[in-house]
Order: sequence, then structure tokens, then C-alpha cells
Amino acid sequence: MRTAHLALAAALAAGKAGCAPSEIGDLEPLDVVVQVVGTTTVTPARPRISAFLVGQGGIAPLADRALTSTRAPIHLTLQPPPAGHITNRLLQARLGTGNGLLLVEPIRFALYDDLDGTAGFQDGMQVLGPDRILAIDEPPRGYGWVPQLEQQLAVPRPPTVSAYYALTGDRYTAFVPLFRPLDGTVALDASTTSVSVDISQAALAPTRLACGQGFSSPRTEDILHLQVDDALDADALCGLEVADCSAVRIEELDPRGFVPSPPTGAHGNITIQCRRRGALETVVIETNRRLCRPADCVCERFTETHAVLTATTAPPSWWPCGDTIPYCASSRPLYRTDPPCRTDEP
Amino acid sequence: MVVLLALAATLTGASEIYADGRDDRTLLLQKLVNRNLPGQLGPHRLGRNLGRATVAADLLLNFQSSLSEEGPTPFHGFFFMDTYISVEVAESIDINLNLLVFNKTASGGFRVLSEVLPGLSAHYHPRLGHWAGHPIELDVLAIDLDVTTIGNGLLLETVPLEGLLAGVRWNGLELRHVFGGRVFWPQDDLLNVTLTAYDGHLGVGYSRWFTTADEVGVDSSANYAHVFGRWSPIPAATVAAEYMVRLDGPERPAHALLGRADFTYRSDPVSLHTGYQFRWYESGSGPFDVVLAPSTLPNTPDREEYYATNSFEYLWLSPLYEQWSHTGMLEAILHAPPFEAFAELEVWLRFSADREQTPPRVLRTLQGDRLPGRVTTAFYRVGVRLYPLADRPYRFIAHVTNKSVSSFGNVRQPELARFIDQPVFSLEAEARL
Repeated sequence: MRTAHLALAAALAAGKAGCAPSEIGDLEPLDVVVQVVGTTTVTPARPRISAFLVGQGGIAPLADRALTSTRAPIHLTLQPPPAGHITNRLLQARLGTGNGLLLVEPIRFALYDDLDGTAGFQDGMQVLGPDRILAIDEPPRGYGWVPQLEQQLAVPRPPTVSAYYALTGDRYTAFVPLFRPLDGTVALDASTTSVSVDISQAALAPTRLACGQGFSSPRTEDILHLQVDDALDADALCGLEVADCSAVRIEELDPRGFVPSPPTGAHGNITIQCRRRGALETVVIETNRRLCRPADCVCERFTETHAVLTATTAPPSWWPCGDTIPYCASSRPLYRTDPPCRTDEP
Repeated sequence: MVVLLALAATLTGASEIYADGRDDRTLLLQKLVNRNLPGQLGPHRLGRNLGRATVAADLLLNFQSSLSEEGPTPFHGFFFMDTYISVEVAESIDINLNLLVFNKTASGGFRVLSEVLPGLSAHYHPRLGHWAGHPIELDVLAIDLDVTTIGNGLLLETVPLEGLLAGVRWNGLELRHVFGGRVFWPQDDLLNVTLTAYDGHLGVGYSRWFTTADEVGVDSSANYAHVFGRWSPIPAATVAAEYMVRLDGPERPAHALLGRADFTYRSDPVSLHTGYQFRWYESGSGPFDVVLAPSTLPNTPDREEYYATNSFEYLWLSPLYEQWSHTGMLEAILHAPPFEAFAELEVWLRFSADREQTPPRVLRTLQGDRLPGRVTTAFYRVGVRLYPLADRPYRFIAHVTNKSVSSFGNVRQPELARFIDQPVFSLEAEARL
């Protein structure tokens, strides 16, 4: 019996010595869900969705697939970037509730029209390439890639390792979910289960992708046209404030002509409001356009306002106020829209 | 009964030092202990016979030359004087003061890196009486507990602690309590109660390891039960074992084992120690359920006389991995007056496995080891000692070693590693005063 016990102990010790420890595998991929939100009148010829990193050497693809529909959630499997990818931009992301921090490279998601038919986003070049970008990922939810994962976890910060594996569900992966609120902070957040791309923001998408969130938006032109019924005293009513003021035969006006043609690449909206004060009332058509130049990381805003002024007692036959469009009670000038009353039309 | 009597006959006697936490099987020259000083000193010590006071000092001077591109180790070109002053202020009451006086390196400038690290212990050790012909002895010791080992070292081995040590002994039995602060992690505490028989050769114990370190986001405790024993079938051989279970493991009780066998032969001209130890720590057997890198302090050269194989290296990884290891220890001394050749070697083969995830969760240690997997570590020291005076414990030493204490900042600054592996050649002068 004693010999058997000793033999068992020796076998156990020898067995432990002979048992192979765990084999370390490659970094695991990650399945993510992409939701397409918003509406557009643009119909892409070859719609595809791509996930990628923007590195110093260009785009490093992580996933890319064709789309048959943008209504249903899109499933992507993120694969580690190719060897040779050099990180361009890192975010410092908070991990867990302690002081753990990791450096993370943001993953971009783009819905694009594969114009060159190569089934690859911009063919590995920079973000402004041959394909047309239709939508990009929208904050605050997103995903990130942790470069040099083992080295980052090797630094013994407050429970970084345990918090990391709790975040990834004990998986050895360098893909992590992110939460990036408007205050500029970044957190690794397991509650992120999908990422959204807004297809209604197509005009902005190239600029936002090329420039991150760091593009400038100087307000530029703000044009005002006021047309006064010729039965009223236009000079007295326009006063010193309105430069472009004219008296018109109001019955002959066609307000559809008040909406200018948008420049290529512009995105905007139209606001129509009816205003009334005393014996006067106006219909105000305000057109806001935003034109982006991704190469300069600039988006310029153009506002053009057409207002038609008439007497309350003698509106033209086409007048929409009161019936089609309710009056907006406001203390602002009659030739301006008031934001609380806005019902924007694209 | 026959087995127990035979067992009792082979057990060695008690050490003269109460709760001596040092390794008594190795030939590595470990430091004195800050209590029971008179019993530790050899006949040539200058401060042995000073009435109620006893004084001793171990002095080491070092000159170092690097053997790699990494340059010298943190302690180089240093002096280190480990000074002990013990005063029997009253019967059964000793006040023990240990002063570590050192200059870490001459490279820092004139006395810039000189420091004194004091440690004081008050030791109350009365004889309470007699029962059945055997004395009942009490020991209470605080604050400087010096090097401490619990059981056979599966949970804690040769770690300097501050806290409280208390025990009652009778006829080879002892009930002992240890409380240590700041053991391996910030604001952690370790409490232990052990009942031993045969002068510590058999025992059962309970330990509780806990922390209130909000700053690291951990508020945790772990409860352990131990069983341990050691036996010498022949005078030069010792076999030791310990079993430990963390009663409140993260998902279930988590177990650990230690087995060790040593052959220690001390003679003239040859002394030899060969040893083997096996350790196994199940996943979850560490005190905390998150991976939290431990740290150690103070980081002084006397640590180089303890093995690298230590629970410090295992406990923090247990949230992720099951671990096991084999360690071979060898020390040999050949005395050929006035010279003495010596060689020391520790080879430590460690394995780790993630039993919960496939593929496994990966971690890279500070030393660059990629876990889980297999890691081999070897520390050596080979050299020659010269005793210029045959009847005095003074010597010159020339040796090559790759084992140095990790101490890159102030010695009181917590270090995440105990040792660094860096080959150096040293010339030293040592005196035991």
C-alpha cells in the first residue's frame, strides 16, 4: 500500500512534468454588428461595408463584405491587421473602474460604393480614394484595436489584466468595444454591442473620415432676400437692416424658386416658417447647406433666407400660412426663422 | 504508535532562535535573525560577552565588474553592514535593534546613497510554569519579525515581515500566531495561526490574507487551511511536504502542494547540499481574484541568499493559470585552507496552463516570459574565498554570479521582481564582527 502511494505520488509529479502546458494561440478575431441608420436618396451600385485601421502606410483592412440590404444588421468578422501595419493614431482608453489605461487604435467602419469594383475599400490607400464613401461610424459606440497587446498588459497597472479579460469574455483578442461620449473621454465598454453608420450624412462622411472629428466649420455666407408686397412700403419696412429688399407683385411669385441648387457634395436642410405680427405676416424659407473639403478638413456652412412679406388682410392665393403651415409665435424679426418652431425638411 | 515514535526519533531538535524563518537545509549563508542573538554567534564574535548586551555586525564590501552589455547591477561598489544590538533589559525581555547600514553604490557620489534601515523588536519570552515535567514557554515578539516562513513555505517563505509573533510552547507542541503587514501587495495583511508538534515538524494551520487597498480597486480576503510536515530519515536528509487549500476560492476551494527533499552534508573539507522541490498551485489558490502584480521590499543584497523559487512568483498568477514547477538546488563547498571553493546553482523549471479557456489567456511578465507555457530560470554563483586569518571569520571573495537583488530605486521602493539575471564578477571583503 505504501509503495503504491509513493508510486502514485511519483507518477503525479512526473505526470505534471510531462503534461504540456497550454499552447498560446494567435489573437482571436471578433464578430461585430453594424447598423445602417438614416435615409438617403442615393442608390449605390456596389454597396459594401468595410472595417479598417488608418495607419501610417495607408488603410489596413480588418473586414470587408458586400451588401444586399442596408435594412438588416450587418455582421462582420474582424481579423487582425496585416503584418507591417504601423499605428497612426492612438487613444488612451480607460479600462475598468480603477486606474487601468490602454492605448487603443480606433477602428473605422465605412459604408461605401465600390466604384472601381475591387471589393476593397480605397484599395489600401488613404481614406480619400477611388470609392465613394456613403457613411462612416457614428459615436459614441465603436471598436478599437489594441496594438502590442501583451506588452501593454505586461505593465503591472491596477488590475489591468483581469479587467481586460473580463471585458473580452476571457478571449485572447486585441479587438475591444469602445464608448466615446462627447466629453472626449474614451472607455473600453462591454455594453457596446454594435456600431452605427449614418447614411444620411454622406456629404460629411469623407471629411469626418479623413479628418477624424477634428475638422473646422467656419460659418460663412448668410444671405437674406426680402420681397415685400408692392401694396406695402418696402423701403420703410426693410429699413437699414435688409440689403436685398424689393417690392414685388406677390401674387405672381413662385416660392419654389426660393430654394437654390445645392453645390456638389453639399448637405443641408430647408426650413419653412410662417410669422405674423400686427398687420404683417411673412413666409420665411431658410436653406442651410454645408459644403466640405476633406483635403482641407473644412466644412463651410451656407445659409440663404428668402422671406416674403404681405399684409395680413391680403395674402396671395398661394399663401401657405395658417392652413398648411401654422404661424410661429416669436419675438425674432419677421424675416428670420425661430429654431423652436423648426420642422426641417431635407 | 510505532510509526510516530520512529518519526519522533528522527526529528531534529528545535533551533535556538524562536520561529526561525530561514531555510536550514541550504548552505547559502543567510543573515542573522533579529532575536535570540547570543545563541547565533560563534566564538569569534567580538560582541558576545558584553553582559546583558550582545552586539554583532556582518560587514561586506563589494567591487563589481559587469560581464554583459547591461552594465553593473543596482548594488555595485557598495558596503553593507548588518548590525545587531540585543539588550536583555530584564529577565525574559529583550530589546533587539537591527541596523542595515549601507551605501548602495559608490557611483552615486559621496554618501549620496547611504542609508540606515532600522528594525526593532521587543521579545518577551517568560517561562510560565511547568506541566507534566515540561516547561510552558511564552513568546511574544513585535514589530520586526525578520525573515518569516509559514509552514514549509507553500504560502509564505523567507519573507521579512513586520507585525506580531506570539506562541505558547509545551513539550514540542506550539500554538503560534503570526500577523504580518504589507506582505506582497499594498495594504495587504496576513494572519496565521498554526498548531505544531514535534518541535514544528508536524503542523496544521489557518491563514487569512486580506487587503483594503481601494486604490488598486481590490477589497478581498482569502482563507486557507494548511497541513505540513517534515521528516529526516537519516541525519543529513530531510523530506518536507505541505498541502494547502484556499477555502473560499473564486469558484470552489483551490488547492496547492509542496514537496521537498534535501540532502545536506556539512563537513570538512567538503560540504554539500542537493535539494529538489516540487510546487503545484491550482488556479484560484492565490489570495486575490484579479491579476495583481506583487512587489517586495526592502530590496537589499541579503535576499540573494534565498532561493528564487518562492510563493511570491506563483500567487499573483493563479487567477488565470494552474502552475507547477520543479526546482533543483545545489551548493558545494570545498575547503582547502586558506582557500575555499564554492559553487551554487538553482535551476527552476515552471509550467503554467489556462484550464478555463482554449485558446488560453495570454500574459507577459516583466521578465518578458510569455505565459502560459514553460519558463526555465537558473541562478548560479561560483567563486573562491580566501581566509587570511585562520582563526577569524574574515575573508576575501571572488566570484561570478548572475543573481542580484532587484533594487533600481530606493531600497524601500517596492520592486516588482525579486532578482535580476545579469552576469557580474565581484571582488568582496567580508567580516563578521
